[in-house]
Amino acid sequence: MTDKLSVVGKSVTRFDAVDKVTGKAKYGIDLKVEGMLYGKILRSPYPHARVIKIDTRRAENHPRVRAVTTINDVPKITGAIGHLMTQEGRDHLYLHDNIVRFIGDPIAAVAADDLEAAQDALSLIHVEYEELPAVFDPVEAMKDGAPVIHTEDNNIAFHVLKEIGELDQGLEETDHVFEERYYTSKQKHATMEPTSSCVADYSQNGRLSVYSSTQRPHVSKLYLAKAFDLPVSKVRIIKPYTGGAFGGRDYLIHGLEIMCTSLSMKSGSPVKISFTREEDFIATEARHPFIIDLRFGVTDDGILKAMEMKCVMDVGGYGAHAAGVMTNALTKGVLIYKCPNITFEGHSVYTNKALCGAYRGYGNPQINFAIESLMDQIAEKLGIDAVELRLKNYRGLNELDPLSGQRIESDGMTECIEKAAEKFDWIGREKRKVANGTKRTGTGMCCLIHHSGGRFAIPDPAAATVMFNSDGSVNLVTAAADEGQGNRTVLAQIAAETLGLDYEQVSISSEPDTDMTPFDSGTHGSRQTYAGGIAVKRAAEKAKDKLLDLAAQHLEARKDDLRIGDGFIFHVDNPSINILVSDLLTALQFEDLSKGIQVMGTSTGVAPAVPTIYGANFAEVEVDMATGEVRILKFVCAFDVGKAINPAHVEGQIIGGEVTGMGYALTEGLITKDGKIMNPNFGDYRMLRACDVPKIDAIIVESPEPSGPFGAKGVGEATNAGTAAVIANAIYDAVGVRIEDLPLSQEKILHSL
Amino acid sequence: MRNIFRPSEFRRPKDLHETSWILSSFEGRARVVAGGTELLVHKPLDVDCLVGLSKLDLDYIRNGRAGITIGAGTTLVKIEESEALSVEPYRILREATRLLATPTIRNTATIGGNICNASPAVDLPPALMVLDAKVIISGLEGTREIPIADFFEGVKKTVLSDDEFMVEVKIPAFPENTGASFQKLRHHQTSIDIAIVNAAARLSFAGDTVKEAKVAMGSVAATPIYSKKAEEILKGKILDVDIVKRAAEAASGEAKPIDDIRASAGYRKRMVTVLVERALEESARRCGK
Ligand SMILES: Cc1cc2nc3c(=O)[nH]c(=O)nc-3n(C[C@H](O)[C@H](O)[C@H](O)COP(=O)(O)OP(=O)(O)OC[C@H]3O[C@@H](n4cnc5c(N)ncnc54)[C@H](O)[C@@H]3O)c2cc1C
Repeated sequence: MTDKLSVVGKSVTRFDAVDKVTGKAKYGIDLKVEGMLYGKILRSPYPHARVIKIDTRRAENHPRVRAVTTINDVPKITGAIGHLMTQEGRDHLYLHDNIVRFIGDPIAAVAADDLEAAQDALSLIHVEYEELPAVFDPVEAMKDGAPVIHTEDNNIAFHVLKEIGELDQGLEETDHVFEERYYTSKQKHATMEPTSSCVADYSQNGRLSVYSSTQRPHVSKLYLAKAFDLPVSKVRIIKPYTGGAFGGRDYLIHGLEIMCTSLSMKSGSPVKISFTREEDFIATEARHPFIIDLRFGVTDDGILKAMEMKCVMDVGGYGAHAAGVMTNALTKGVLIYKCPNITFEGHSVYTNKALCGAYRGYGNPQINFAIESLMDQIAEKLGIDAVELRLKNYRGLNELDPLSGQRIESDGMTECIEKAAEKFDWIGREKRKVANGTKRTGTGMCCLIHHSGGRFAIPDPAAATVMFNSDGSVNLVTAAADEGQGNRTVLAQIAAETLGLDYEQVSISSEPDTDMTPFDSGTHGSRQTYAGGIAVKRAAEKAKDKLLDLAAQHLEARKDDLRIGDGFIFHVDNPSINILVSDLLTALQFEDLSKGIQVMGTSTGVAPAVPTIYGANFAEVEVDMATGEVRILKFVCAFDVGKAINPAHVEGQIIGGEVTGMGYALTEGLITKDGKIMNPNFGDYRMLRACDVPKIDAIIVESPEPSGPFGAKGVGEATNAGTAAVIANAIYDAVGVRIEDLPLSQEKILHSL
Repeated sequence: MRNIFRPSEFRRPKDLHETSWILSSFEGRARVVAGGTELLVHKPLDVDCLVGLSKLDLDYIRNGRAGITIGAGTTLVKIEESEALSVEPYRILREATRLLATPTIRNTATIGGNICNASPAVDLPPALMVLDAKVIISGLEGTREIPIADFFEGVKKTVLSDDEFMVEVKIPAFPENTGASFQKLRHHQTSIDIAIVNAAARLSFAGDTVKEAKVAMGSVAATPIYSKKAEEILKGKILDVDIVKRAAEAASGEAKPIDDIRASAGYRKRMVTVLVERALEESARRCGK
């Protein structure tokens, strides 16, 4: 199959490239709608308080203020939580009550003629608070008598216990037991465009239109309809270009769309709210910090017999993704190695800290850091090569996934490890070791898995429509949101390949609009190329089938004998029996006045599986023993993506993901003191820049997934799942200290030397 | 008080006197703006008037027999590329500049802004301190000249009164056999990070003995400071590993850092030892010792 592909597997230029690099593309932050007002949100200065009274009179009297709304006026649903598509999710929606639960929790919002007036008016709102005792440490929050943040005793937002086999028996049967505790940090997406911009417009025809750079336009639509008690049909989400999302725009943004809509309803004008960078840091979601206790039992020859994983996850003041992230940590933790006895227990716990939520990897970078650090320790202690230990234990082809019961159908782990090890020269690593003055070098590796889509855990529909135009060109219609990764280009490639067309003949709108597209669950969970791709391929197959049916009638030939190529439909044995695709389509649609047919195909449904993505990372670092500074000298990684529909995009995903992983490993993390974020800016929140990052060798491995479009599965979230572990392992190799607390700051390294 | 930065006026005076007159007439609510890379990022709320110095011709580097003079309005990129500053010991100014922020910031940021900013962590002041720099200040009463170390009074506090501003930095000529070094520690060397600790040193030798030694450090007290004890230990000595180490430890002893989100006081103190040691070794190496 692969040798005949002409569009898939090619790094075609994304359709939006020129507009984006020339600055013509309009992002959420650029939005302007005729007659638009500017909104600003007033936020809580306390981590935990009861709002007694909100006096907005002075703000309302400001000459340029058009509307004021408060938590007492907006519908009783916050923007952050939940999952509207299941009853359980609906039951979990948290109310916007009169309690504030973190510093930055929205209390009121103002719409004014200009931004300055809105900002001014905030200082005219008087709020009376009754401060409540607050709790910041998740372990403290779980104790009896701790301040109650929502209604649950011990502040437990979600609890899961999964037992496979007999842990105790497994531990007894092993020769060695390894135990360790790990801490991970609160990493921020820090997207190039601050997370939140939206324009809500309830000024026309009783319909609510919201321009929002959400990852899940149709889910936002459901959400807002529910919140404002509107028929779903009356809500429209229009997505502008997005300057990065990485999970940060999953669902609604806490308070944003709800307050913005309320202001538009009150003022009768469109209203825009854009968060500043500081608001982005303090009041939008971040990666959940975990405390992870591991206890692994292994035999002398390195076979895992027992794995115990206990996680406490700090969800902050609201429980967005309290279940999702913990469950994903569970699946990655349970599935990476084929151990017979596994126990995973997770507690997601409320604290009076800023929000946590979806961030690329979704629980995997946390659990992988712990597991792969401990695996490294096991390899060293047992004298087994780190690579060999992984190859002995990982769960691969034809193994049964014990959680879903599905068989694993594609497995590129061995190839990932072997190819990356060779490129890295793993064998020669000892010879490369350098001790120069205070500098020491070291190497490390790790492996990882991730999954494409969430079909077994959440409703995950995808849909697409493929429409032929009379000139033979095609419009592809899908609600797949593109946050910058290029998935709409990839979906157009899949349509073109399926239809036997050139990439240029397939057009797709720059971004989705829910009025024009069928329901898609959104861009999350590394699913769009896989699940969205399946929908597009099926829709294209249906359209093609229809076209060939009609061509068969027209040419009086058997459908099976017809082929499409070079703009013609022709008989495979007798090419002189043919018709130009455009002639046929024109005839069907316009010339034959009795027909009026537009050839099109639509597919809706879910992907059949949740394929495993495999990956391996290798790193070489240099540590300065005098200062604790780390430099990454060399980085090689390989990912099994099934089939790279667009190799340049895959490489972009890998490099981008690894860079954020390096920041997660070394420097990033929100620092909170008594609930206040101390580093809400790029001066103090340290991300790595281009010149801080080594060349990243990205190897693409293609072990085809039978259910995927042209064999493809996902890649996005695998790419930062293993970075912290590989760097931690390399640092250990260089200087002999293992730091189990992210980020691996130079100060921590120096203190433990 | 306002809750947003909204100066109502922007002035560009044509001479020194007019500048001081405008500054004094706003009674502390006027602020000089140079590159704006500090001021316009922090946007202080108590500013009614911004005073730009671009018409005062303060953008120059002059090389004379008495040393080097640098106009307060000189951009950092000009310092980074200056021929006059490419020689020992002045070249530490170029080196310190290159470790500061990014090219886009250095294109507009000025040396005057870097000094008047009076942040404990800025980079040029420690380098200027070991080069015995003086700053020239202009006010309604005329100009005055003070050693740069005396310019700082505390975090974000300088000796400037309401009508005063900085016009020039003066660095003397140095004898042969002088070497200097500037060291800066950042977080895992992220390219755009202010110093956890920085340190500068200058050694002037007579034969093999140290005739004069200067050690300065930043981000370890409310202002950049000299280490007098290190200087005493070094002066008149023939350098060896042990003396360098003792001097570095003395400097660390004089550092009074605080714990903040960027680093702990303990880490900073240890790093002073490392950076001062490296600065002294480098200074000595640069005059062939
Ligand atoms: C991303 C980033 C990174 C940075 N990294 C560093 C770094 O690594 N090291 C470092 O040292 N700094 C750093 N800075 C701070 C700043 O850029 C520099 O200190 C710069 O030199 C300030 O110069 P400026 O001309 O832009 O000052 P401005 O912002 O114009 O002014 C700064 C202050 O000095 C006053 N001022 C300016 N000129 C005069 C004058 N002639 N007389 C009296 N008062 C005056 C102003 O009123 C203001 O209070 C960084 C800044 C940013 C934004």
